[in-house]
This record gives sequence, C-alpha cells and structure tokens, in this order.
Amino acid sequence: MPKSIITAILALAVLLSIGGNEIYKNDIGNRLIIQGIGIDLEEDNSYTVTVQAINTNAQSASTNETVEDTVKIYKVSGMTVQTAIKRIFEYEGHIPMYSQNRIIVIGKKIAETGIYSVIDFFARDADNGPSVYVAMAKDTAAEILEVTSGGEIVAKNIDLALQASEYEAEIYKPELYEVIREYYSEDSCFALPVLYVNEESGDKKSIRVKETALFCDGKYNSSLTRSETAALNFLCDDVYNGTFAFKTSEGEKVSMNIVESETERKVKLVNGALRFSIKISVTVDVAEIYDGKEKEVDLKRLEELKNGAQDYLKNQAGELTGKLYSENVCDVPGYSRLIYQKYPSFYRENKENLSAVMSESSYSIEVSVKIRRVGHENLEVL
Amino acid sequence: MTSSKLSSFQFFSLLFLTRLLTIFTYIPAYTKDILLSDMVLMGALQCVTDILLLLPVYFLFRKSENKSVTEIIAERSPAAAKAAAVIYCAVFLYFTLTTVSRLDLFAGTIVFSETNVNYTLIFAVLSCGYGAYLGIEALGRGAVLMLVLAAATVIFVLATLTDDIDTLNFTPLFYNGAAPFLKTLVKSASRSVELAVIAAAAGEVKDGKTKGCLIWIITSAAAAALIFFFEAGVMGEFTSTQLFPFHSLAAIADFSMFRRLDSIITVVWLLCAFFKTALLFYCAARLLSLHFKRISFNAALAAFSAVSAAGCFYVTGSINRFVILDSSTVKTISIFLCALLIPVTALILQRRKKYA
Repeated sequence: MPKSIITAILALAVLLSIGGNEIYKNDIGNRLIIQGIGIDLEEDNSYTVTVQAINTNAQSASTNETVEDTVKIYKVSGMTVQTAIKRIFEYEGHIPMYSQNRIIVIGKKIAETGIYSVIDFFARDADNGPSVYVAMAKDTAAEILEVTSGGEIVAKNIDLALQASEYEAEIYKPELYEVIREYYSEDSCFALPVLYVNEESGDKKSIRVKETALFCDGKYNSSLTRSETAALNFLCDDVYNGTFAFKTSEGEKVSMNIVESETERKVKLVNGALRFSIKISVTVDVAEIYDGKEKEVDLKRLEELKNGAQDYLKNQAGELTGKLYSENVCDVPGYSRLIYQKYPSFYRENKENLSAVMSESSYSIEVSVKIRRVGHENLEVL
Repeated sequence: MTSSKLSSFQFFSLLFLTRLLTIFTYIPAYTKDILLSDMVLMGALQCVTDILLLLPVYFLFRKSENKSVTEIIAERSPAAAKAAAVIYCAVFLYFTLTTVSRLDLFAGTIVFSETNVNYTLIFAVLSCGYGAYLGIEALGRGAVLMLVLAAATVIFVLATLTDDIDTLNFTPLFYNGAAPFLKTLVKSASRSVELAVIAAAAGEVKDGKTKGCLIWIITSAAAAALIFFFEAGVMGEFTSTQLFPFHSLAAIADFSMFRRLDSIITVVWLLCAFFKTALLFYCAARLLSLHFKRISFNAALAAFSAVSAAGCFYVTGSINRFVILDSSTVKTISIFLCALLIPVTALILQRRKKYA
C-alpha cells in the first residue's frame, strides 16, 4: 500500500477518534459559552453562581429570539462552585464551556470570609484560562452579572475595560494566575478591582471600577481610591500608560500623560533594621495646563512642572506606603520578597514576625519625572 | 525499513525535539524540594550531567565510530550483547510508556478534559510505529523541519512574555540547601532517555557526532534554562501549582489581538511526542533485529507498537498507575544502566580486545 495512503488513514483515525463517541459534548451547539461567572456565599454556606453566557441560538433564523437575547443569564446554587455550575445543564441541556470565560466576580461576602474557598475550582480546571480577570463586587456578584445593557454582554465589556486599563494607571487588574500565585506567598496579600453597578440614563446600567480592594491572608481588608490605586501600581511597577493630574505650588491644574514608567525596588539591612528604597522613574507628556495662556512654557516653567509632578507622585506613593506598611501590614507590592531574595537567612529567622519587621522598617521614596513633550502649543524655549 | 545513514544535524534535531518534550512535560510536583530559581539553574546544569554521563560513550565511539554500544559488545561477547540489547529495549519501551502516559495526562487534563482520549492515543501510538517503520533518516528529515517550527514557536511565545517578567518572583538560590538541589538534578538527569538513544543509535550518524552532540547538549540546556526562567519570572509560585507549567505559560501569553497561544504550543507538543515515540520505537526494534536474527525489524516494531498501545491503555486508566510507572527510581536505574554501566562494560571489553 502506498505510504501516502497509510499516512492518510492513520491521520484520519487519530482525528476521528478525538473525543471518542462523546459527540454530544463536542458539538458547539450543545455547549454554553460562558462569558462571566459570579459567585456569592449564602447564609447556609452554599454558593450561588450567576453565569453570563452567549446565546448561541440568537443568530439563528429558525428561532424567534431577538437581539436582546444575545446574552443569557443563569443563576444556580450548590454546595460547591462546581456542583452549582454543572446544574446549568438542567436548564436547557447545554454543557458549560469555560474556556471563553472572561471574568470571575467574587461577592463581597466571600471576600470577607476568604476567596480561596471558591478559587480552587478555577485553579484545578484547565478549561479555565489562567489569564482570566478576577474582580470583587461592591455587594453581590449576581448584581453585577445580572446587568443586561441593551443586549450587550456585560462580562465582555468588563473584560475589554480591564484590558484597556493598561492605558489607565488608576485600575488594578490581576489575572487568575496572579491571584493564585499570591495565595502561595507567605502573607497571601493581593488586590482586586471593585465593580459597581452604574445607573445611566433611562433603564440603562453599566459596570464601573471605582476602587480597589486589598486582601490580606486571602480576606478582604480595606479599599483604595482610584488615585491610591495609581500609587499602588507605581509601587508594584505595573504602570505602563495612564494620566495623572495635580496642582502646582501656584495652584494651577496640570495633567500629564504617562509615556513610560519604571520602579526600582531595593532593600538594605543596616544594623538589624531594614531600609527599603523605592525609585520611581516616569517619562511624561504634558497634556493640559490650566492658565497656560498666561504663562509661556520656558525652561524655568518646565522645571516647575517637573517638580510639581515629582512632588505629587512622591506624596501619593508615600501616603500609600504609610497605609500599607503601618500597623496592619498589607504587603500587596510584595516587598517582603525583596528580603527573601536578598537576605534569605534574615527572612527565615523573622518569617513568623514579618509584619512587625516591615512596619518598623524605613521606606524612602524617590520620584524622577522626565518631561518628553509639551504638546502642540508654541514652546517659548525654542 | 530502509537502512541508511543520517546526518549529525538530523540526528541531534531529533534528540533536541525529544528533550524539548521532556522540558514541556516537566511536572514541578516531582521537584518540590527546590525553589523556582534553583529550577532555572537545574535546567542550565543539565549540560554538566549530560557531558558526565556521555563520557563513557564518547571514549567508546573514539575507537569504533560507526557502531552502537551493543555492536561493540557483540564483537567480544554476542551473549552479553543480546542481554544489553534486551535491557536497552526494555528501557526504550519503558520511556515510550511514560511518554505516552504523560501525553495522555496532558491531553486528558488540558486539551480534551471532558472526553476520553484513549482511542486517539492508541491510533497515535500506531502512527508513531509507522513513523519508525519509515526509518531513522525519514524521521531525521522531518525533525529538521519540526525543529524550525518548534524553535520559532517557543521563541515567539517567550518573546511575547518578556514584559510580564517580575523580578520579585525569583527565589534565593539553594534556600533549602544544596542537597535537595543535587538530588533533583540527578532526578532530572534520569529523564534523559536521549543518552541511551545516543549509545544505541549514534553509530548510524555519518560524521560530526562529537561536535553535533556538544551543540545539542548546550542548546538543550539553554532551552531548558530559558523556559524555566520565563516560567519562574512570569508565573512565580503559580508554576508550582500547575501540572504542566509551560502550557499555562503559553495560555498567559498574548500578542496583539491573539490571546491564549497555548493552542499553538499544543500542536508543537503533540508533534514532539510523535518524534520521540517513533525514535524510541525505531531504536528498540533495530537493536532487537540486530542481535536476534530470528526477529525481523518489522515484527519487532509491530510488537513494540502493540505492547505500548496496550500498556498505555492500562496505565492511563488510573492516576495511581501513572505515578507508579513514572517513578524517578526506575528512571534513574534505567539511565544508570544504559548511559553508564553498559557503555563502561563495552569500554572495558573494547580495551581488552585491543590488548589481547
């Protein structure tokens, strides 16, 4: 028999045998393409799972479903997250498919008791991508995922907004693998964006990120405002783009676009005490200057703007460092890892008492701002 | 089977693919005693263990360049050569089973987590048998093409992750001491079935074996260190929680509008498994037909394919069976026998012959 025929037969056999006889599971028409999963804890310690999924029948001419039915919402309960989700099958016979899931929303009650009771399912099931976003609901996850905004898939909108937040320093957006990674750190500190339902004109509702929740030992600890979140992103070296606005010493408002940012984090052990040094280097473009017409941008003024930006960022980072590393240490920026890397013996000796060690340490913050452009307006210096 | 010589580049391309599969299917649970940065160092130091383990074979091939270890033994003692061939065959069969079982674990857990992949694997094993039937030169030619595809894919995936590396994810070196590190390094070396393949099949390589081998050792250690570096730098402790961290790494990678590059890696992964299994089948069948005149290459190949398919069907039914099969002790003994004991014995016999 010719080699090409044998090769074709073997290739076909491999292809056709994929999935065995379980055609029902593999047919996309029988699958429920999940876009968002919200989990809430009930009084009886059971879980209510709210699922937002694409309605695969919506585009079908044979059905009477309208555009509003593009998204379907299911609410199921169970002793565990997995048993609850599997019950979706009972609705229309569709088998949940998680690989297209865009976001996991955790209800506040779960956040307060510790999110790891529910995260194991997502860590264990390979169908859930490690890069799916995780967020916390201001109140319940159901409230977030029950929003249907004119037929739009809200879970998709949240995902796109979080993706775009690469251009927004004021939003913290961890992916599932980062949350699980932090769980395995000594103190289990991490942060999640907090989702709010925003009432818009008419009946329209949308979802907004208004603050950031801090977690210690896997439990909700406190929240940060959006400007504090920007400082957190600077401390974590997670700023890529974004804007910030401040008032100069003369009281005029200036806004700047972040072009590039890098945070250098170091620790030194001096006479048994730790000294953390954080150097933030930011390159910016001046976007807007109020009263700019009154004053030309010359070298002296550029210096004033630079100093104003440096002072603003330094204050923001300094205040947040004070908040994170005072009495109740919440090491979201992960500075204890610096000790672990550089002084492993010291870390080993003080592992049980690390919070106290870190709250007694000194933190010096330096900010260096470089102005790259000042916009289209005439530059006096030229 | 068409017997022919293959070039050094083709042969070591095949070995690079088999090593790449070993790196892809690295399971952190087996090396839990060491931390992430140690894992990177372990990948790099693999070149030292490879060189040390290949020294007897190197001295052996200096005198008898175009013969396998068993052929050199046969010149002195055909019975000992037969025993050595059986040991090599058993080791190749064992590594085939572990390769296919790991592939089943990967496919059944990650790629087709909700369906039964046993029948697919059986057909895949038979395809590997057919690949081996086409001969090592055909495999070598395919491996060169595959090497380009695999290298380009891995480099592309890693390049997209460069910005995601966080230096805070790295751990101090030897935090748990040097002893667990050395133990893990030995464990890691025990997965190098390529060393046994060199001993059994390098005689078929035309020329440039030493240079090719050195390049293979260095590039495969660099690939291991680079992949482990990205796993540690991007995923941190998440790496330790994953069954197949490299697949998770590819799932995190994105480029422009493309997200979840794991599907591309899965294709490379499956093709690497094809080349590795086919190569092991070829080596086992060749040795058996060479030293047992009554057994033809094709019959040996058919038997190996059937036994592997049946073994795989049995092992993949339970995770307990897989854990027992995938034992580091068995692997260490196998590599000790094939890369050290048998080649050293052959070396002694070769020297005796010289002075006889």
